[in-house]
Amino acid sequence: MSNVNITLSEEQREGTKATVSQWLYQVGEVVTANEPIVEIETDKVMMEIIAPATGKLVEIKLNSGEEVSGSTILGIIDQNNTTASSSPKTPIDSIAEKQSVNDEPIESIEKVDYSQKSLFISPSVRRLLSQHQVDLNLVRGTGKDGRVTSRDIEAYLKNPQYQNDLKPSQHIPISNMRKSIADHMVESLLHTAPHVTSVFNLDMSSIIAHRKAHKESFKQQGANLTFTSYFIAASVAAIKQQPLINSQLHKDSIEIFNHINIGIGTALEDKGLIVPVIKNCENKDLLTISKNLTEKTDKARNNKLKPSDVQDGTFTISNHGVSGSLIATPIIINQPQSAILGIGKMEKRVIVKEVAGEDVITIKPMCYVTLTIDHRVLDAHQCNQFLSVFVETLENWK
Amino acid sequence: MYQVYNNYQTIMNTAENIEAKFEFNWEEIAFKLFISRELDDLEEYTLVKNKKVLYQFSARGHDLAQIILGQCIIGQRDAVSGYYRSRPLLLAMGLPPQQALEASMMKLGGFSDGRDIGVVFNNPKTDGACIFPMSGGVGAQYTPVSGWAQAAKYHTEVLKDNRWKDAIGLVLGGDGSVATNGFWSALTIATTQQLPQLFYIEDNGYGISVPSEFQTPGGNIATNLASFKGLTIISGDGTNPQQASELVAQAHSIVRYERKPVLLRLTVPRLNGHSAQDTQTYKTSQRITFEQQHDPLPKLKKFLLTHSILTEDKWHEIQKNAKSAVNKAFIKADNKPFANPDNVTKNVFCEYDGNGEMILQKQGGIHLSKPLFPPSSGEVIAQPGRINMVTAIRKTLDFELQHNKRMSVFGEDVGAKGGVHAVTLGLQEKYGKQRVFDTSLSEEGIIGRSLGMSLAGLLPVPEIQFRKYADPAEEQLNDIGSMRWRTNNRFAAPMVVRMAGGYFGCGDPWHSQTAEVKWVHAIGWQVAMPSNAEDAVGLLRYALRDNNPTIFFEHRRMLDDIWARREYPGDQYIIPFGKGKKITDGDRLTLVTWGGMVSRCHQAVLDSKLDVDLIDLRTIKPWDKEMVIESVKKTNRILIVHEDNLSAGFGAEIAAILAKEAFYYLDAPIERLTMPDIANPHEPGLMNAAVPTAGKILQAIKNLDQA
Repeated sequence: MSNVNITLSEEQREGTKATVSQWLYQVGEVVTANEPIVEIETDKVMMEIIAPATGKLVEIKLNSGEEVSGSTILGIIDQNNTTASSSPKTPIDSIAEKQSVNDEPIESIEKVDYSQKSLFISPSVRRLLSQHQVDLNLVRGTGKDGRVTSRDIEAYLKNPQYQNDLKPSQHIPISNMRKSIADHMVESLLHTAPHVTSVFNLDMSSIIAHRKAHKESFKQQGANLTFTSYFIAASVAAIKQQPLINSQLHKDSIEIFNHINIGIGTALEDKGLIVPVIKNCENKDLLTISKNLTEKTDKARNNKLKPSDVQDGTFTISNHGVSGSLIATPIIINQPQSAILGIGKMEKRVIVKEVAGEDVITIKPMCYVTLTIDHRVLDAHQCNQFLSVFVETLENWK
Repeated sequence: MYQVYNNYQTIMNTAENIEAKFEFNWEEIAFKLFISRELDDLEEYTLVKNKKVLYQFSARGHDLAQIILGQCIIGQRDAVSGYYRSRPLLLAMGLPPQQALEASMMKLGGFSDGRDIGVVFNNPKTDGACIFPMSGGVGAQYTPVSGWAQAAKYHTEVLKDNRWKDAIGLVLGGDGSVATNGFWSALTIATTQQLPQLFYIEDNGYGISVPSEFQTPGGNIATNLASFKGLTIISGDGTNPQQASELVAQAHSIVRYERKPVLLRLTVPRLNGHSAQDTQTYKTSQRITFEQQHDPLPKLKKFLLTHSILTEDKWHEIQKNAKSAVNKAFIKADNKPFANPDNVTKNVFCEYDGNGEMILQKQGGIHLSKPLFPPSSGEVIAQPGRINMVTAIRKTLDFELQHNKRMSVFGEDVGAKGGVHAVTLGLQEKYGKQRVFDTSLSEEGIIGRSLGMSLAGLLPVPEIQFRKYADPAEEQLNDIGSMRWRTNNRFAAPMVVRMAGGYFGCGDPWHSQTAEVKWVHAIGWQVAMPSNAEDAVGLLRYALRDNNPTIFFEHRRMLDDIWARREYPGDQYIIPFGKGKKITDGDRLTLVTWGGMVSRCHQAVLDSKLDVDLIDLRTIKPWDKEMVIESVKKTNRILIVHEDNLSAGFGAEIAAILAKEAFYYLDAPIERLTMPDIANPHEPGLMNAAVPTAGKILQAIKNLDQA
């Protein structure tokens, strides 16, 4: 049999449901083994399926938007056929052909294409512009190719208001990731956990100093030493003091985990949010944590995260301050976890410190840290204890 | 090749042999001959060389016979039209030498104030023999004189004016001119109508360099016309004083007293080149010797001395006086100024003074006789019941014929048949054959005689049966149009030329041409193109009462088209030229049109459901520029639709004017929808593909609206 089926890989099958995002090749084209041929989308992650063999893509069984799971066949490659055939007409092409045959002999009036707005200014428009104060950019053009005609200027002069030449609003499609995030947030905040947030102050001087001293050596060992690494380490310390934070509520019990898998909320600009997980932080030192973190961050940025990279977290940190917010609350808990840590923007602030019994005004690099808890599982006591240990660990870093 | 000067032949076609006596003043003839020669010498040897005269035509050899003939032209209502070598005749008729020099020296005060070449003489005179503004084109001088001769009959028999009863028309032409269409056309008219027209052919054997054998077989038009019915032919030696004077007297007598056409041919030598530039290398030395042997000047001296009419001393005294007179005349003429260049565009059409009064020409048209027209107004006093344009035009012609006795309507099939388009049906019955009549099949003749009739103070309304057939008349039409300008308002030839054309149920290259732009481009013509019966009445009445020549275009399809029918607006209804009509009002775009396209444009505007300013220009010379520009200022978009073909059609003129005068009001390019550059197709399917239809106009309207 020369035909080879295109299916999800072993690893891809493990994840939650996936949908076909887009085919990178059309039927009739020749594909090479191990070359990516189709993109699929899971909750958060875009994955590629590579060609299982070299040959002609002879059939596509699942199209964009269709669900794929398990051993569903997405398409078929004919190994024995390596000559590309001309792409068959898509349904859209044949519709266009039909239209041209039925065209009226008389030229139809061209529709205005607002994306190709003509900048032609006629003599009478030029005259009106010299006689009146008009910003041409504010005038809606109704002439050929969207040019501004003198009628348009006269209408504008009667009723000057910003006339956007686009529609009042526009619809953009919802990506699978967006849908997934939306569902998650609603579920977590509105249907599952009562969220309560506690705010603590953090003086970053110690870790700033430590980082400065160790950054270079960490780099040489393949680790980009960021503040997040410290936050992970401090979280571990705090969890060890207050293990209830690192739990999952079941119907009749609270499961407290022995492993501490910390996920780091990572923004993907307009596409949404992804949370790569550093597994088993409980035993990792700062360097290891840093290395893991660097690796995961790189993967995230290059769209190379696998489902395993984002699964099995027990605690999550949100570095929202990186984009400027001082405090964010509530930060929505990453179900089925019980708490989520938020780190605000670092700012130099004036604080009062007691030095040798005296109140002293000093300038320190501060930021607000928050812990949002699932109040079904945790109370203020555990919450603040965690934060106390967390802050103390960081402020006394050596 | 060699002319026979010594034996003369007189061919008399009449049975009677009239004893023609004329008292010639030989001393005067001698004096004028010397004047003529002095002028020739002065111009040719001096003034051309110092560039005071740029176009010079000496008349040596022609002069004696012309001067003799000129002495006969003393009727109160005589008219003469000559050509470029006719100055001796005019000197004989009383032209002062100073004026002759002012003309050739291009001075203010000459025949045209420097606008025309010196030899194109004219002399307006309503109480003596007048001299037509001559055409620079050889052959065009004939049929206007036929018109004058016919007008003499008209004045006598219809208007009962006895001053005209012995008026004659004299036309001079060379042997070359007997090949021209104008000559034959005039011959036909004069003989078929038996008009008092004297054709004087000066046969010098050459038309510039072309021998007369090329112009008529054997070179003798007199012998060739020997059997021409209704024509008296007299032929002889124009250098022999005795013979020439006898033959002239005979010819004159027959024309003036028997009221019959005569062709007088006299052989004369051309003792100089055609003009100052001509070196006559095409003549053999024997020929030149022969010609010089027949110089009439020494022959005259010999004749006068032999017959003791003058003494030798007297002869020399006359010569001296002539020389002195010419010198004095030259000094006076030389001191005269040239015309002011600022005025060079004046007097193309009739102009008005500060009081709104016409600044009348000295001769031509009916306004010099101060006609009293029935009252006119722009108010429509409609009679219920619509009529078509044929009926409307006929009613207008009828009314104006009734109240203007100087008006006559004529053309091919105009009389008995009532016109091939039925416009003149019944008019001959009502007004008689003198006033409504058929003509020979010569458009050159129809229009040429109209020129003469107009100069004789009448209102000719000639018909050109189809626009395309104006082609043979184009020379006369051009000369009529330019007459006021080139004589600087001494002469004008107002008339109304009715032309039919445009598409019908079918088209074709011969009957469907409009080509109206030709007359806009020509100098001095007004052009009216009514689209409907009401406008036809108003425009025609205006043309018939105006002091300018007008082309009145009758659209073949619109003559009976249902859209063009209107109620008769009344005998008072008049529309001044240069006023368009707004058929629909709107601010989306301007649609300008005229003639046969108006009904289609109207349909298209209604179908478009857009607010369009639809303008029917009605006249395209002058045209209502103000109305069009005002409209474009409002709409900023203009579409011009015309039936004429595209290139340089009148739409191009409108577009050029708007591009200049309405540039800052244009929001879209100026659009024209016309027939392409082809002749009109015959088969209706082809015709409808070529001539703008209402559907095409509609599409053009839509496209322009969306631009």
